[in-house]
Amino acid sequence: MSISIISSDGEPFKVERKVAERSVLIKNMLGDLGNDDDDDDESFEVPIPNVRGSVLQKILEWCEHHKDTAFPDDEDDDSRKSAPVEEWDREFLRVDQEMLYEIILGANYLNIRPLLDAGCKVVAEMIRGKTPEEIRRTFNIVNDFSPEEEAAIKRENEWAEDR
Amino acid sequence: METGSGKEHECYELGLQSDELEDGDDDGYLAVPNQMPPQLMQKLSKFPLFRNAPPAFHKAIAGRLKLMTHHAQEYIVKFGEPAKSMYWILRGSVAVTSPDGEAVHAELVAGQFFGEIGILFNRPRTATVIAQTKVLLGVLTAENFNAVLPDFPAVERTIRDEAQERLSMQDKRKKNGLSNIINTKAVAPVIDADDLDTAASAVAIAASTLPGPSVPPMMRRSPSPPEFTVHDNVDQSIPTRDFLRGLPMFTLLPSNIIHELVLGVEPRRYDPFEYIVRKGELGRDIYFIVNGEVEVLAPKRFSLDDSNGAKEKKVDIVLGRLGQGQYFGEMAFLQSLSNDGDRIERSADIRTVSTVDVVVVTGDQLEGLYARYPQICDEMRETARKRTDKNRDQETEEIELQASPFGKWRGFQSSVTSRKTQPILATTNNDTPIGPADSTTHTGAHIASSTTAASSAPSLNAYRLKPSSSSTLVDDTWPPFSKKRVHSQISPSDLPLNIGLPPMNPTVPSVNQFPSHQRPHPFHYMDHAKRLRLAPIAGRRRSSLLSTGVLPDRVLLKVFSTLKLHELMKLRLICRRWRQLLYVAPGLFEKLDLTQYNTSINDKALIQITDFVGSRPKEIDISNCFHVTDVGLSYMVNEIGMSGSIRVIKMSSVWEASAMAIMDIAVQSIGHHIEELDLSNCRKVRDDVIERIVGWKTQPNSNAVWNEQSYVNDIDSPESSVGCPKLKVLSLGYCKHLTDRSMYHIAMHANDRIEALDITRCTTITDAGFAYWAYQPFSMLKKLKLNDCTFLSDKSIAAIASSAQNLEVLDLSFCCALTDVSIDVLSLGCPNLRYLDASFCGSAVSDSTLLTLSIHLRHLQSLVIKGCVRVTRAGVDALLTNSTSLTYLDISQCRNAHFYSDSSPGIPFQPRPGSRSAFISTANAKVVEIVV
Repeated sequence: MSISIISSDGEPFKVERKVAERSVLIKNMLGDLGNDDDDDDESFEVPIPNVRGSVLQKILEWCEHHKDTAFPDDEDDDSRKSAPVEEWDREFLRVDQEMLYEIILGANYLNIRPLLDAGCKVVAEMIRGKTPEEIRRTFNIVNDFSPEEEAAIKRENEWAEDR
Repeated sequence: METGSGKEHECYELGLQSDELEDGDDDGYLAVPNQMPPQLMQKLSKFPLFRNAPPAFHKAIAGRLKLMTHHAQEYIVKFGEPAKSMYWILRGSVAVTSPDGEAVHAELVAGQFFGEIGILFNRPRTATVIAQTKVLLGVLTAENFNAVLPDFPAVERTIRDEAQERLSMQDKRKKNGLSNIINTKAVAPVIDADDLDTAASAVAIAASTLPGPSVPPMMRRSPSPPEFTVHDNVDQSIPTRDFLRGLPMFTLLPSNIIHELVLGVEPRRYDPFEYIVRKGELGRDIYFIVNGEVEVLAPKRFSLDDSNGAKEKKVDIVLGRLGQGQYFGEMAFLQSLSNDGDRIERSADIRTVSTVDVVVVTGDQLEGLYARYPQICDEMRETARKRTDKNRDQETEEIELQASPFGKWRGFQSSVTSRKTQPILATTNNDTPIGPADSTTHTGAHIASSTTAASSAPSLNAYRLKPSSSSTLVDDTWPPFSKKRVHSQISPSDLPLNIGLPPMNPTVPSVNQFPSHQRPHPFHYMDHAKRLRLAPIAGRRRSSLLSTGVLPDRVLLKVFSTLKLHELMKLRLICRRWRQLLYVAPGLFEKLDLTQYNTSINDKALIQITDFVGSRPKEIDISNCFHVTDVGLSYMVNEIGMSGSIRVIKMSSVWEASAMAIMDIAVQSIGHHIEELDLSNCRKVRDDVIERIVGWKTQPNSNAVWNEQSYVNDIDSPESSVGCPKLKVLSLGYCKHLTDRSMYHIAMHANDRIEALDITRCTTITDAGFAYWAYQPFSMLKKLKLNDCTFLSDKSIAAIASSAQNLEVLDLSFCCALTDVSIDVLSLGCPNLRYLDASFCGSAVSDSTLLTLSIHLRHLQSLVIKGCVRVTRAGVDALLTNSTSLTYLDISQCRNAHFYSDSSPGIPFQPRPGSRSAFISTANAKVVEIVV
């Protein structure tokens, strides 16, 4: 059985079931329909209304690569948070910011937890250990605090700044 | 040694540090007789009996002092035995009990001694003394004592006098129905076990040392509200002699006169809000306050409304307060000296504020003394003069303040006095000036004047002769007492009558001095709800389209959840939008785990963090943040708890936290949500903390025992109860102050909800605590940790087995006192056990117990029997063969587990390379991991 995933701009992507099921959303959908592997000819269309074609392509590329990876499906937030990003994922996510955000949002929608985590960690690394000015530059943010406000926050941050 | 327990004696050698005397980990010292470590010498010389003796005496005694230890639960002195020795407790604690050991009268701790009257006066023992913990005693035999004493006649005199005085006080107390209250917390109180023999004192002692519910009902004949017992113990046991000699007026008297004085005085106890002396009544005894506090009142009568006639009202003007070390009654006495033979009236009412212990010196005795030593009255005169001046000032002031309708107070007052319509209530001290001191007993004939009886009826009510019957009174006359809680009872300005004696603090200086007023002003803090309300406004303040960058909020929130707390706090600086998100984002900081920062978390940091996270945390873990004090802890608990809902607080080793701050958790708005609490190694945790935290199952009713609680409820939350009604998981490891009282409370009020309890090394909890468990089903209890409760015996385990039938995890490691019986009752009583740790329970684990386990515990998955040397390969085989569920077995350090009893070796377990685990398949096709 092959799955045809249709992006928001109408572009269809044909993938094998195993790849599509990296997305818990799609997996559940297929499970609801009660499809089994026995009739291989049937094709199935899954519309994904809020992911663009170019982003979907990227996501499916990730799914293809990880179709046989066994991710620890533990609910242990802490260990998942602290695990480093895999090298292939890091390379895979070396894209422009807009694409990165869309991948994260898409992974979130499609419920692809490992990809979502990896994306967030990559963004977090762009933040971690940087000065506020660097962070603003990275994300194109304008400092809208008055100097007094900034000083007040810094006072409240005394402990955090020492870390 | 006559105690019949000589077999276990161990002597200790020099290396003993006096500060080591707190913990009990230094076994195995060798015997070096007749040698005292200098630290012990030092400690000894501080004992009351020796305090004033010359160093040569110390040496002589110390050379003859034998050190010996008794293990917990061992008899030291038995009722009825001839007394041959006296004992000083150098470490540990003992219980003074009834002859059968059932009822505990008192607990004596390090620094106290017992048995001395026995050898001085050659009396047989009148109580039984049992070691509660492992105790280190200094033992001095009568022979040695008598061998030394003749060389030091002065010391002998002191000791005999003091002992005699104590006997005399004891007899008088008995006669008056007063209890011999024993204080376990005073610095160096003097107790003699031989004193504790009457049933009355036994009851009262039990009630006072184990206040509240821990006393089985039949023992509670004279309940006093728990709060009293805290403070009325303070100086109860100060020897009367020391007390009197400490008074300025007596300091200069020679000791034989003091001795005479002491033999003549009478100790009395008054309940709160009881009149000791009434204005206008006759008497010239002088009362010295040993402990507690009284008010000096000027009773004033005035008519509210003359036209209505009978509406007479009495108003008490408080002229001052007197506390420990002060005295009253001197005015009448002085007057009696000047106009001999006249009947002398009291000049003011004296009413107790708290429970008060006084010693009464009769006017006659004092007069006799005065004849020989006139100087004793100089000080008294001065005091009286000052007091009169002060009273006059106060009265004038009041008159000025209260002009009309009360303007005629004064005139009325004076006429009242002149007509002698003041209630003439005879009190216990109504002896006439010629009455002998000993005639001052409590008898029924107290209403001297029947003509005034009617008008004074209400006051009569308030006047209690039998302290033991007054618990009901406490309820409605509470207000003066409430001040006790705020620790501000007396400020120096309230004490114009101070005569410069030791600090007057009638209440126990609480361990929980909580500096609530020091709470820092919350600087930019805004609670979560408020932030949410303000969120849209804040977002609009400036155009965020340009300034927030390209990162969508949803992504940002995801990213935030992967960052750490201190990183997120810094991100507040980026821009308003980010700050706003950080402040209001739901789901962030639900688990606030600060353990990774533990060394850097102090109060200031904790407050900053609290302000940042708002009310979002549901689980807080500040374990090992040992710099945190009450200031930070209370701020966090209150700020987060009041507007949020904290389910879990873990604060193990936050040892600065006071009991009061921890009890804050129990207020209704916070405690209502609490499900799990870890207070391990919080050093200030005591029984009262546990009681508050756990709460009470039922609302208190008229039962006087529950006074404290109803009182607390009135203050904190009128309708609902204090405590954490959902609390299920409680860790109390290393809270060494917890006693059986906590166990009792948990059994009575949390038995149906506690799921896990950890009392690792709570060394003060005994079998008696678990005895309460036997009658209460702990149906929810799944997990129980009793590590290092080394003296719990099979009785406790039997109680657990009968009450906690659903127990799944049990840790008994290092419960060395258990025997095979424990494992047997567990096998039968707790069929659902999955995990059992019986490491180093050498006497409880044998081949036969393993067989029992394997047959009865069909769910047992893990068994740890480290260091159980009685286990042989036969037992291991039996276990592996029979058990269907076992997957993990730790037999490391079981040196006999690899051999059969005929010392033929079993098949060796081959551990995997690099580990200590061997995996073998059993007959039941299960793989068992065996740690060797």
